[in-house]
Amino acid sequence: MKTTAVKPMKCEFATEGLLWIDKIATGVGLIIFNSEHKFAAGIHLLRGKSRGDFPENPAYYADTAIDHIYETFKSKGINTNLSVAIAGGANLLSTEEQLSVGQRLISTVKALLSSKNLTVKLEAVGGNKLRTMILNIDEGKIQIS
Amino acid sequence: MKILCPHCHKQYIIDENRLPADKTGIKMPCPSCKGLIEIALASDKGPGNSSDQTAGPKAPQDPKLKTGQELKKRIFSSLDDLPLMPQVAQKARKVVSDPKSSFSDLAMVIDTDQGIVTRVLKMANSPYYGMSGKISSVQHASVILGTKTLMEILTLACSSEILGSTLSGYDLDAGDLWKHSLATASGSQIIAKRLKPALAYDAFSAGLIHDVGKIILDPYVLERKEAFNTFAKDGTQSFLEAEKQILGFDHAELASEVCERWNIPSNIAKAIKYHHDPTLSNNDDLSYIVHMADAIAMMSGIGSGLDGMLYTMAENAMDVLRLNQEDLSIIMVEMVQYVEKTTQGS
Repeated sequence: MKTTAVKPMKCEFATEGLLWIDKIATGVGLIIFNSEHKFAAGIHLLRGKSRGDFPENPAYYADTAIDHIYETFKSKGINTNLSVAIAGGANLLSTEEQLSVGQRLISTVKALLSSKNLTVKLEAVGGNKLRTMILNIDEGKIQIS
Repeated sequence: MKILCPHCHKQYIIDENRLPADKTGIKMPCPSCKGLIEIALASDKGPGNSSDQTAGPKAPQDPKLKTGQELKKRIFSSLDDLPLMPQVAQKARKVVSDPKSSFSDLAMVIDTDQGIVTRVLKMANSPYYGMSGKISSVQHASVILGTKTLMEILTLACSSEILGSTLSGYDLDAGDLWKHSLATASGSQIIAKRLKPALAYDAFSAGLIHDVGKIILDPYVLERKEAFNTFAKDGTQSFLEAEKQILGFDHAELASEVCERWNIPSNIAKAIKYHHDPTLSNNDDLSYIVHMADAIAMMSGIGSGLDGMLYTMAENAMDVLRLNQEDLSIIMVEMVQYVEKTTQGS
């Protein structure tokens, strides 16, 4: 089975097999999927909003990354029935919430998704766990462990 | 039966039925590094009586009896099995600290070890240094990149083999510890450049080998894997606490012994010893720098294993290093990019 691995600050698109994001810690793994078209995007975000920067790599910031994914889906005529899953935002032990980089990143990503009318259907965030997200595009199933 | 090579730390599964029943031990060359693996065989071995065994540093069979000082004593006596840091690294340090030395002197020292020369050239030509395919000799590298950068590359080349091994106890695949070490080295250097630029080179070296204690402890963690898994699953206490409770000491404590063996300068050894609790270091800047870089590397997830994020950050670390939340994110991204570029094509 074809496996598309997503590295940190890289955006990958896939149409078959598995889309795989592993070792998600404080960063946020995001998968957006349309089961009808069997088209999926995966990204491992490490930074929040760009504050007006336009980096060469759109996956550098959460806002430029989500815009890039959204536009790519739109260019393929896929605007609706998008399944969204997020995971990550973990902290080191005993990190106070207000000091948490992960917590802030999760809030930023959720706000950005909401601004595009994208609803998170599956999430596993916070805590101190490393996480892995696997989307089986052929079966349309997302697993977070 | 699981066998762990004490030299390269590769793990093998051996069918016990193929082992001689009438012998108490056998020796075999490691298929990967060709180092000698000694396997002690239990005399009452029989069908269904399978066991995991770590060859090399002889790990105790009964964890109740072999922890703390007794285990430590055995581990220290097995330190001879640990690969040595190539001598060229120490010689190069001496050359660099001599104000009368030149680019050529450093290049001549490095040229004495052809294995290291190959690795130095590979790294000097990696995308990170922006010289892809342009550097053809160490002499050339010393002129183009300068002494400091060449020393940085030499440190990388000397450590890559040791840190590139698989650590099954810590659930680290080949390359995981290397990537985490690279991330911590680059993070340490970034923080040092902001805080005390004079510490930048030592910060890089300390960050690179800060987790060397894990290499020694790995066979013993592997033998007690169930206890460590339970601890990690619970997720309420630090992994350092797990090492202390299950083994009687932790990997940072052991690392200082390795530093002595490798003739690592005392300031770097100190930073490695206190990298999980710099508050005990008597306000040592380098200890705080490596501590913070290690924490940010864990937050990035690069090369993380069983211990994942089960560590704490010293409460005063951000203040001591004059960092804020945004800085952490920026450093994390720079680390990821550094690891990506230096490991490209490897």
